[in-house]
Amino acid sequence: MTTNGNGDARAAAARPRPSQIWSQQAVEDIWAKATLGRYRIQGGATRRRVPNFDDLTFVPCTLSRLPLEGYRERCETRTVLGTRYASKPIVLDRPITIAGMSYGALSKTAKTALGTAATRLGISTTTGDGGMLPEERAASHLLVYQVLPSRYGFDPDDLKAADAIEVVVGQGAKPGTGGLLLGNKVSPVIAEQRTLPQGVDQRSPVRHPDFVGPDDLQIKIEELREATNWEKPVYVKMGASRVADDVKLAVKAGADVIVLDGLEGATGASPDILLDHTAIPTMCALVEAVQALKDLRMLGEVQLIISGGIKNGADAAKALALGADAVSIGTAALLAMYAGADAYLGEYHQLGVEPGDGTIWHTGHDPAGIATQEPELEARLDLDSAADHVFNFVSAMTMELQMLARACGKAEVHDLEPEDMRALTLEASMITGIPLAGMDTALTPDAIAERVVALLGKDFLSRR
Amino acid sequence: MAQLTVPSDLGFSPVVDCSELTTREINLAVRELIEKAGATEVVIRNPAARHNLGVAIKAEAELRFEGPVGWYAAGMNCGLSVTVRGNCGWGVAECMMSGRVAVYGHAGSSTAASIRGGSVYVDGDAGARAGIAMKGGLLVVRGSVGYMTGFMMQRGTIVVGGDAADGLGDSMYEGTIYIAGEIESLGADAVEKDLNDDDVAALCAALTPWDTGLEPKQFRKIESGRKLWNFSAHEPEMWKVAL
Repeated sequence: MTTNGNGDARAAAARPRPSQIWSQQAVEDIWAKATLGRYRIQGGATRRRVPNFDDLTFVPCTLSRLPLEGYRERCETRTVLGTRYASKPIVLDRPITIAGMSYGALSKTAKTALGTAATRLGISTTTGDGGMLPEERAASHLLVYQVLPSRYGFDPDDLKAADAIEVVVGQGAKPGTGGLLLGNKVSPVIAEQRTLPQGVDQRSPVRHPDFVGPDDLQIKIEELREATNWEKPVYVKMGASRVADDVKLAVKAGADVIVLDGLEGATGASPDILLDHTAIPTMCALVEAVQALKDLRMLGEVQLIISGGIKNGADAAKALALGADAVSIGTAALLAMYAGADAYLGEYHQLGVEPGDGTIWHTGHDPAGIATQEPELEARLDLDSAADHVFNFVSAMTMELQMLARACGKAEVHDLEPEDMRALTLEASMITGIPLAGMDTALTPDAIAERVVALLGKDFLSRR
Repeated sequence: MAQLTVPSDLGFSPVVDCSELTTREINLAVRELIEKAGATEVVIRNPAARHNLGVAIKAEAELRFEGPVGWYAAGMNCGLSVTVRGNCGWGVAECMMSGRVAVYGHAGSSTAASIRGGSVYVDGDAGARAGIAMKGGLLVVRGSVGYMTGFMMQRGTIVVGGDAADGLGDSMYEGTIYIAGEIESLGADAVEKDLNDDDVAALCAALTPWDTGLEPKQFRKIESGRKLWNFSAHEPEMWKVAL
């Protein structure tokens, strides 16, 4: 086998250590690009682990605080959005909204089911790239109309028929880049709705066609208000990037509500490099945004909706405790619909994924009929059942949120506050300013400096 | 603000003088006159380049601006016939569904952005991104247009009597651009094609309503090369630029 001795022979026969640089994943990524000749595209969200709400825990009432009865006492969830300028603010039964997702990325049945569920829940749902579906409008008691850079399907009548307007500047999955809908989802109906050739790989613009910067946005928002008689709240949705500056500029531009979409936000299709390597994680973005609103003395006057990876009532409770007025869910609502997808388990496994795995959303081939435009697949999705699953999930999520609030002694979910939490990781403590579990003070840079000075004396740095 | 009431048979054009009015008051007055009082023509005096005038009105009536207007004049127009005697800012007639907007002056950037129907005429020059993302309708600019005119155009027709700056027709999906003057450069996947009889007929129809002095035979035709419609590994240089 070898002439170099027994030791080398054993070494040659052993499995090589896995490379930390050229991991199997990295190698497969290179092979994929070598085959495609372009970047990789997928649906869903990043799979990276980033600082998130799971890095926080609540510290409920014991002797020092009085809890509310967890399963009984009233805990208010009503949420009002758009109180700054709109004469008809949005009133939600609970601080949860359904995020903008397009008819195109999703089937008509899926969009309508979201609207149906939202109406039963007393919350809003949101249109998406491609405009407003009549079925979606009919199903949705509260419908937010997105004004997107592409203006696909934009119609002033739909704008007037909406309950609120959301000017989309970007999204958390890929801030700084427009939407993507591959040709296999640009069916004849979708093509006509978006005024595009059938089967084209639609790459939406990222810049709006008629404004470019924050000063322009101010004029645009005034136009939208004039068009709708100053009745409807105007939201500005942004992907989390330079959050503090962006939030301040959106406030200056006249937003009633800011929708901030963090890194964990998903999408129907995106270059995966953008999913993994752009944006600020949701929790971190929220902290920055709240501070920006405080700096402007606008916290509460301009409402803040946070989105991106919100998966349960705990995430919602922590977001509210950090200062959000509401959370927005997209993926979680879709995943709820996949609760009925077990019947197609075999087909998903043939595709190499489990039901609800967003990595196939861009292909248009979704056996459960949710992220597809194939009529025979869409026909599998039962609207009532899908709506029931979303209704059940959001109801449960609300109960979880209330349970946590009651445990913290709060009769109003919006009364949750940072003091109700502790951080489980050093980085979460430093990001949020919330004390690390087991410590009494937050590990902010200032607090660390104070401790260093306390331990070593004020002259320590100068002595060095 | 005073309530405006107009008899159904006016015999004259009601006038809204912007001098002492806010934008909100101007738009309310125009809507009151057209949508409620049934005026078929309204004259707007002293608009003073105010933004967002006459937006999202759905009616068949004449609206005349006697002076320059700011951004988004007649934005989201649906049926109005609008005349601007002066220059206008960005986004005139943006997202228009139907109707007609004529600017007897120069227009800023994003003229007729994303319109789905109707026609826009600019007697002077138009700025950058004229006809960007048009989804239908007609834009006629007697003068020259700025860079990236027709960017990501989807449908409709742009007619340019003068020259075009860099990137004409960049990333067009569909639609047609006719240009009589010089082109500084074509955008990604924009290609020149031969003018045929149908084009001449289309140009005649586009130019006839306006006194441009332009002849259809002067024009060249630009359309999409359709190479950006779908991802392709066979044209890496084009995709490097386009993406």
